[in-house]
Amino acid sequence: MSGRSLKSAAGTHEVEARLEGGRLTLRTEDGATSFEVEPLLDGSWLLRSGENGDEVRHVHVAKSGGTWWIHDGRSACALEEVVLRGGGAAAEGSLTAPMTGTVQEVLVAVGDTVTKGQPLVLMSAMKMQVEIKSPVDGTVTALPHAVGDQVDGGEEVAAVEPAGGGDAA
Amino acid sequence: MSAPLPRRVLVANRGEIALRVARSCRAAGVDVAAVFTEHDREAPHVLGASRARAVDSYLDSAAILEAAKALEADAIHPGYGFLAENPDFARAVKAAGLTWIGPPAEAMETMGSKTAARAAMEAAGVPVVPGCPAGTPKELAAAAESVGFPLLIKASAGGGGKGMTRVDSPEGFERVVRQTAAEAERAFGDGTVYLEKLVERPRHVEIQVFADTHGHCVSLGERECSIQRRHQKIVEESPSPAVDADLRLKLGEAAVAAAKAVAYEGAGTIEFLLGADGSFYFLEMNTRLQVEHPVTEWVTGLDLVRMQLEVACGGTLPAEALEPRLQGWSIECRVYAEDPAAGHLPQAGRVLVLREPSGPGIRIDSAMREGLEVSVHYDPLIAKLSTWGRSRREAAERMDEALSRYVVLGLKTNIDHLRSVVMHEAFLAGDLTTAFLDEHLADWAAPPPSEAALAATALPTRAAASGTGGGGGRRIADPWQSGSGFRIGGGAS
Repeated sequence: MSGRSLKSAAGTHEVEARLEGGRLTLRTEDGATSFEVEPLLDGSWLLRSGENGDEVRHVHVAKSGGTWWIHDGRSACALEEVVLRGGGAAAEGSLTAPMTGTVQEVLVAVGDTVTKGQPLVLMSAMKMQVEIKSPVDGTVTALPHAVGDQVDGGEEVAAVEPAGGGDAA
Repeated sequence: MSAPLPRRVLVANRGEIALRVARSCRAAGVDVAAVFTEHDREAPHVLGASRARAVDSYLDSAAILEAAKALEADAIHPGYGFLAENPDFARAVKAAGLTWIGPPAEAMETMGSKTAARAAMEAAGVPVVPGCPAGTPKELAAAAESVGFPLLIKASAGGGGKGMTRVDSPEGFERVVRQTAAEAERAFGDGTVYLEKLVERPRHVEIQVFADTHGHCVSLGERECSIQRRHQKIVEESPSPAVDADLRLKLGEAAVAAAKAVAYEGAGTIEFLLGADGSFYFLEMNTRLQVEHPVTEWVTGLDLVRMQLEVACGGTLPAEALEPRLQGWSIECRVYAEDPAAGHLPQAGRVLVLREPSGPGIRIDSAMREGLEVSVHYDPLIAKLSTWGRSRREAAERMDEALSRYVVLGLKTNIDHLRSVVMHEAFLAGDLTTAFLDEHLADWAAPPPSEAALAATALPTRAAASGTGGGGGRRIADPWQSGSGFRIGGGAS
């Protein structure tokens, strides 16, 4: 596996992360860093770095759906893999449910042409209404849920193929 | 004086408070029974009880009374929320011959009504926000002179910040009254307005009171709860950096007078608005154990639930409560499943990994477990983390350190946001108001992921590992059905 596009609350990170022979290597546009890793019995990890491997971090990792949940020993973050669609054009923003809830209304149909920002699905969760909006101009390619469906946070609720995907391909 | 305690207490609640109440019961040799809804079948509060029975809702008083009978409980503790401040339930519990671990129904009733509470407090000499009930613009203008400026003209039918006009001087006062009344008429169909003194940059300070049935009623010091989001407290502490010994005495006397005015029994909290000039005004009384009671327990060394049990059974307050000595400082943070970068939007999901901090001066009131779901059905509180230190600074530093080791994976939490609050200059300086978050952390953003975190995306994850003999992961699969992955007490191999 090569490069990965990860989205955090702070932005998008283009990284290449690799685990080989107990060594974890991260390449970003700022350069490369590597960690020696040791798996621990409780499922967490010890990461060593620095010149003599004497900088240590106790790291916990879990994954659900396309999201990594990582505590790096100091704080936690969620990293979402940005899914590539439509002939390689990256869909900025995901069409996943922001939290567990119920599909209240499906506002478009598969094949519809939609514009960026257009509401596609209306969800209700925690007594609130949440609109799932199209992140791009494009065509609706999937609407996996019907009205009344219970949807988990992070689950896909719609897919849009960006317009002009052909140009990018 | 000690009185015989109940044999078995039914805790009519869920979550951390049900566990917290159960702990003090068991420590006192009192057995614990639980009720649970379909979402809570395997919740920690059920696992900690000796008997448990299903109910449709924690608000279903008839079902809870029935459960108490079936589970052979002789007392009911309501926790906070749900039925805790329901006087009809309190009466029904007593009518069923059970001990009600809470205040008298009449006290709840008076304090539950804004107008009745205000009248009772005025009669008892407890300061209330100066104001004037409805009147003609001329009458209100006359009253405004004595109340003083700035003040608010409020629509009786308004609320939530709507239908309010701030007035800073007497000029054109009657005109503003007429305008506000006309707007209220249009917006709410009721043009009645009244006026109230505006307490600028107020703090929210409350006094823990405790009364027994032998005429003792004491103040156990104050808590400061100014740090709020959506009118909900997220950081509380005791004592308050704004309260000195003199003010503490005055607040305590007012709170005890308030409790005595309604013949209070048990644990209660009197909330005050505290102005920058040291003036304070009765806001309301919470006739129950408060969410943030641990900070009071830290600085007084008292077990408030144990005292509730004893007082409900006719016991007297212990000597340590009659003359409480406040030691050190305690801060509590409410750890929520929410996204602080997106308006504190509640989050639901499964907790995949949980590591709670511990150590000197650290207390966790939690009802969380790995694999449990924070559901959309209840409050998304994960835990209350409280710390104690000799000084406020030490308590805050311990909090920051404990939060940094608090591992909750699987959903977004406010842990990093809480760290930003307790380590903020203004917080450390004790400069708190109810607008703290808006004033200091309105543009808060989550810190960017570290290189270690980005690199960790290449590590095999627990969910994936469980299929290869891990035993980690979600632990929700049926062990009798799953393949080789399950091993009791097993770890990653």
